Amino acid sequence: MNELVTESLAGQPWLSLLTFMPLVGALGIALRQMMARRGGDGAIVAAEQKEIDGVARRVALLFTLGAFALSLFIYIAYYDRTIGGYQLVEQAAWIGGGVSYKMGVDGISILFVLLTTFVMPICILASRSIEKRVPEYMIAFLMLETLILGFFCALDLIVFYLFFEGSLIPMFLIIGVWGSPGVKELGGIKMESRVYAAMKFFLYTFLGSVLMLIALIWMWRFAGTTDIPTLQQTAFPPGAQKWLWLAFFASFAVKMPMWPVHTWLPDAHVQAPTAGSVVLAAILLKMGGYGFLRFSLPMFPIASADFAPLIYALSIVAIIYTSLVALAQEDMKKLIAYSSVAHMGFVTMGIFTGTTQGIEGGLFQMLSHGFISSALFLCVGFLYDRTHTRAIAAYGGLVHRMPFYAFFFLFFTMGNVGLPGISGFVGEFLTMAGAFKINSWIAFFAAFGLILSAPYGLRLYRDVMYGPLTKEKLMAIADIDTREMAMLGVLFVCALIFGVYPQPALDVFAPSVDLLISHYDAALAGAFGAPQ
Amino acid sequence: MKPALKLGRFLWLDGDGKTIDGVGPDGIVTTVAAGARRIVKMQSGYLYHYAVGMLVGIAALVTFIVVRFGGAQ
Repeated sequence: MNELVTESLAGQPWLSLLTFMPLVGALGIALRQMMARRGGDGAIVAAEQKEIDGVARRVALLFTLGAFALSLFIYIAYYDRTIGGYQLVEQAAWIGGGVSYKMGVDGISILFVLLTTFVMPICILASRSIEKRVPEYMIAFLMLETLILGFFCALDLIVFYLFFEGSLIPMFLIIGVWGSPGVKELGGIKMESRVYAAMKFFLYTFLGSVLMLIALIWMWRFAGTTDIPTLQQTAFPPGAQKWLWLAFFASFAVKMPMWPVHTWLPDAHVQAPTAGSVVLAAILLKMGGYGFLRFSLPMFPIASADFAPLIYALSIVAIIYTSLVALAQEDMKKLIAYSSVAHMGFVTMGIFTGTTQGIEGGLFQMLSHGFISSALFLCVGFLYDRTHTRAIAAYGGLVHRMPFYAFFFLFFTMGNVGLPGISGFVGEFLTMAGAFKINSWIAFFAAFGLILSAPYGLRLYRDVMYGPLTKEKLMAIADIDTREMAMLGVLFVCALIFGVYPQPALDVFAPSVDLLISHYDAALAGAFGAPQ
Repeated sequence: MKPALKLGRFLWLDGDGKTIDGVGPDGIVTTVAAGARRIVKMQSGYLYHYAVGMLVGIAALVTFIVVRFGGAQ
């Protein structure tokens, strides 16, 4: 990198530029759609619509790739990996009364920013089979990217909340409008399954975050500011901490999702289009874990320590329960969705151990799950594009027709199982090492749950790939093409590199995690008289 | 393998399906829908139905005020 160039550009509002870059693309697509030639009946001419669809696809890909390039540039040129505190901070007066527009990143958030910009172009590429309302679809994805990036960069509670809530809207539309067909009946009312799933997703998350909003207003009144770094230094009274912790927990536990508020996830995943599932698994679930690390642990340390046993219990139930449920699934996407809940159980368990290994393991697990689960959802999506079914029973013997697909699918299934050498192993190992420090029983049960991930993973692979090729539909099925191979290829490289050599990622986490833990331990020592 | 599969099916259909969803989101939706279907019958369109309702309401309100605040003079 040219020193002169990076120095002269330092101090620019890089994070805001990055955050709002996809939004510019969305506006461009909207503008093009508005200027379309219309026929006598007011509808856009078919040929024109086709052209706009192509433009929308290209613009979306261009802007998501641009955002990825920009985030890499910011990371390489300006991000200092040795600092634990917030960097690239930008602040502007906004509402007043202690509320300002503030952005910044640290070791906990920067890799999620990169993960987001990395996954988004893959989502756009994976949307080729979308033919309905293409411009609107691309706008939804670009908006979603802006909202997620804003969420990870926000350093003000109100800004954070706006991005957090805002991200519900495009995802709600993506599931509800572009989801799979099907009808569901509930309480005598017939509705489309995708609408049911979208509603469930929205209401669950919304209910949780309304409680967070109340807590947020209380904190604002108490501290007189919504500045996140300041709030992290504020000592909230222990009695209030409990309620605040519970309110934030309601929001993040749903998002994570933790047992027993996880049932929206399988429905949302099954109904969402492939790219929707990818972004949901790779990024949206991480908002919960990120929230725990940004708010619960640093702002309410005493309550976090008090409620840790509850978290361990829920995490272990999640790991074992959902692994067993995954074993019984007949739908490929549902199986992977349930396995996601189990994997997120490791994250919550790790985070609330309050140990370096636990927290770094939790962060790493989230990152790794971003690669592996997206790849698995892509794998299912590729099959769905070819046969239009997700039922495991509809497949069998695919290895004879799709050797390249078989390779990638096996690799990512193994990654999901937690095979050493693939990134999934590192996070699970570290979180269990962290749990072992606290209580060996927690680690024991978590390890037991980990064993259960092998049967469902292997069963899925065996039933889909092996056996005789007898199904009529599969006789002429084609192997993955270059585009599909490229998508799986980049995820393959990431999962493999981080699996063999996780140190670079852990080095990014370390300064911020150390800072978090020293603050956490100090707060506990202050409250209980001795370090926990 | 067989018992684990059975347990998984049980946790899925009875645990997630009937218990968590049944009591949680689906239960709430079903209750609200059933309640709405019942309460909708109150809107009969006959003026005298509404008049009786209002009369009963006023009687209840007056009774409440008299009992709660009455007898002061």
